[in-house]
Amino acid sequence: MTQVRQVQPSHRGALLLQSIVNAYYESSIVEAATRVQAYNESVENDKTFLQIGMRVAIPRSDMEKTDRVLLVDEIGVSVATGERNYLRDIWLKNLEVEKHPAHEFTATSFRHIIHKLSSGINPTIMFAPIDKYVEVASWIHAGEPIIRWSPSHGANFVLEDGRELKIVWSNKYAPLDCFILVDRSATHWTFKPDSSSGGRLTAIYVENEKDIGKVDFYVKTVVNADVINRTGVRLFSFG
Amino acid sequence: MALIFVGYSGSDGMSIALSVTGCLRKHKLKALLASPKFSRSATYLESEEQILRKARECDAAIMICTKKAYYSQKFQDEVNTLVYDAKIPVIALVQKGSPVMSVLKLRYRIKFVQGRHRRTCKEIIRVLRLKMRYGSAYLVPEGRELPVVRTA
Repeated sequence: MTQVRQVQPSHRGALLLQSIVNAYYESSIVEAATRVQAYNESVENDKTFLQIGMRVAIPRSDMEKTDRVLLVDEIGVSVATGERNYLRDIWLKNLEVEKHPAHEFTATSFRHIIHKLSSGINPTIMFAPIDKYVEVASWIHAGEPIIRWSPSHGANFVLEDGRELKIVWSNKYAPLDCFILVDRSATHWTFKPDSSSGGRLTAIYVENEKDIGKVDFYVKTVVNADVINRTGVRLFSFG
Repeated sequence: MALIFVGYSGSDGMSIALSVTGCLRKHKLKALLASPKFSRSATYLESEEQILRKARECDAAIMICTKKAYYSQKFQDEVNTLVYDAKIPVIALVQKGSPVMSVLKLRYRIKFVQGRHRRTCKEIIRVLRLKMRYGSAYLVPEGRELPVVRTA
């Protein structure tokens, strides 16, 4: 069992923790991609849980430096990235990737493939490999009616029946080489609530056991993801 | 070796960008800069799409905010792509007195007085290293210790 000794933050130190929490919730995609529920021990005591997080050692005096808000927020983003990688791995492990020839990667074919794959399910989000970004962006520039873009929401893919899918691009830290079409009801995301906030993320200071002059940011979410409907998540690739 | 995209607009921006590139190289970071004065950029100077294609492969980005950049559509496209699509750490290097895109106001900003951008090198490297340090958090079975990441 992990034993950590929590350090109570000053008012300024608490601001740093809050910036981590805020960045996490802004970056996390689990609400959009899964059904999120808090763990209920009385009904789900057979689940195996995983921690997604890290400890970051900092000089104790840094707790007072609120000019670091935009530096430490990356820790929250990092946990959200870990969640994406966990979900991707769960889906890749449990589901088959449908392979299409490279020449089918055109605006028209792509839309047709998604239309076919989304029948009978209600997808709301699509994970996409960033190496296809330029091609998809060219569909926007060419005025194809299948991508709707807004500065606040990024690119949405428009299905033939008018429904929209949020597109989440992979990046260096969350790599992906296929498309993943997701009906959020297909995957259950169970989290153990933080003992003080009740939220998904624990963000506290703990003593650094090796150096008394340091404290650690201790940031984690404790989760289990289950694919409960295999047809609700469709993986496909080109080439 | 980490690859850093350096975005700019205009001739003033380009000379700052070239200087930032030198700073990165000195600290063993590779720069990606679309400039005719940067020998390795020839292949992706052909179009903005080529630049964006390369930019998404980067580990982080430094966007040089000058007045010219603020009004450049290409610069805005690059910022939006890096922040919203590529989702990599983006740092704004802001010339004092220049307007800054709202998106970049929410990122880490390093300010400099015109002509004194070289003084920001140390700060750029420190922030980049911190921003790139985390990547994806660790996935560890419940009950095990979380790994400790040490900062400088």
